[in-house]
Amino acid sequence: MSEKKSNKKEISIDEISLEDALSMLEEILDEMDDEDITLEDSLKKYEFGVKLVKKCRDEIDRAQKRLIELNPETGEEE
Amino acid sequence: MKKSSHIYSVTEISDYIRNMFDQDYFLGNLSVCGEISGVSRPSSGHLYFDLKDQNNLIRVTFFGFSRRADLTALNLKNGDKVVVTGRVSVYTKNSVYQLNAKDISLDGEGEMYKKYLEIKAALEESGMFDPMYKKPLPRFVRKLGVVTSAKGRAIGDIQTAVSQRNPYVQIVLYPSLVQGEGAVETIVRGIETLDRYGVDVIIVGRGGGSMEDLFCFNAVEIAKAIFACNTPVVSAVGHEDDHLISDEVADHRSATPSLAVTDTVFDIYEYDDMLDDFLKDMKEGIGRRLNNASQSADYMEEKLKEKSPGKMLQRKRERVDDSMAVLTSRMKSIISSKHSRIARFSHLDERMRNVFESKKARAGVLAEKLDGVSPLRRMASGYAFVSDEKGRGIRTPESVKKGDKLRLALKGGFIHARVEKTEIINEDKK
Repeated sequence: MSEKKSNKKEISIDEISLEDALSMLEEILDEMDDEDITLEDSLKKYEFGVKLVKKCRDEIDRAQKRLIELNPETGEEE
Repeated sequence: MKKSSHIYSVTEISDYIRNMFDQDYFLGNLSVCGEISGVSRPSSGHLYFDLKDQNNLIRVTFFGFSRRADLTALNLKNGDKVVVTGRVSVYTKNSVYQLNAKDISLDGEGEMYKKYLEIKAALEESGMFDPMYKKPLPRFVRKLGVVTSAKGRAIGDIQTAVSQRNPYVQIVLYPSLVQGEGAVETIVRGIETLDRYGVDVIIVGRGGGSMEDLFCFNAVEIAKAIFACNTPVVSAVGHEDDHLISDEVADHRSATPSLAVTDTVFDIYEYDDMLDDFLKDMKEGIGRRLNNASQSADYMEEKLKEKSPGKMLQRKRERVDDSMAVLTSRMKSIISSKHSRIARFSHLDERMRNVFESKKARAGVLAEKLDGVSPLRRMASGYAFVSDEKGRGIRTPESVKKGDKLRLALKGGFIHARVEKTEIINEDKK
């Protein structure tokens, strides 16, 4: 358990996929509800969670997209 | 009308007519289309029905129909539109001409449906529809590939649905034909091209149309292209009721192109709400924990204060004060109780006097009684008290002998005497 936690810290936040980030956020919320967690640990988890939420927001390119139509002959963008 | 010179029998004329039909080249082999009605399957294994159009009908007989497994599989029923191939002949027993069928096929849509079933059975057999091959759709689609007509309704519907759910999704369209000649080839190429191009998911489809219009999506080539595609494929052809081979082989089937967007593209507004909720829940969680910690700290501080020397001294002082107060109060109560007891003894003098008087009176009575039994009183009446030399009382004659000295106490003094003789009087003898 403690090994798992230490492994998590070693992962760079950039390497985490959106799916994993959301799962981790759910996990963090569960862990923060745990009565036995120390204040220090819960503060660490909170900080990490805030970073994950920011990552999840930043991951989505918020620019309006125009339809790309491929050339049926070449398969390239027109 | 004049009677002819030769009279024929019914059979002769019937045979003649049947022969005319049988010899007719056109009637010998033809295909007739119409709708089945009055179908009947007697135990003989033959099949009888009427083939009709708006105005007319022709009786159809299919001898040995039950032995034709390919045809019994069609499950022919009233209302089916079919093409019957055979020859027209005459049944002379009741002068009926009928179509003796050699083959029956479903007409138009029926035919297409039959083909669809054949392809479906073959591909199912090959295992292509097995759920184990279905790829899961990605949760966060950011590039959405679409294979459909650039001019059809489907692409418009898809764009509208995407802009409503998540305008940040990039749509990449491979414009294909979606019906008629060349459609199958362009759809296959579209799937392959988008797979190479790199999108998160590919929607293959078109809007509604006739069975004939949609039929190209039953093509084995398209099924194979979908099956081979590394990117998850969603088939969205026509409407809810349209079922095509592409639906069976795709990783996911959506009833319409718009619904394909709902099924594949995540709702960005729900996503943002979810992230907000995460933040809120985490903040609440940490707030709760800090609050708990602060309460614990307050509690500990209070405990520590209680253990401090100052507090302990104060508590001892308070205990001394408390004890003093208790003592004072008890002393007061004792004094007060003594007071009330003293008050109760305020009539003591009188009572003592009474007691004394009564004792005195009783003493008087007793003195008189005592006087009555006093030996001095007896002596005054002439009695003497006899004792030996040592002053021991003599009560019987046996206790002295001749010569013993006696002392007799009488009123007014003593007489010293000597025993001359003792005489015992037996009282019992008296």
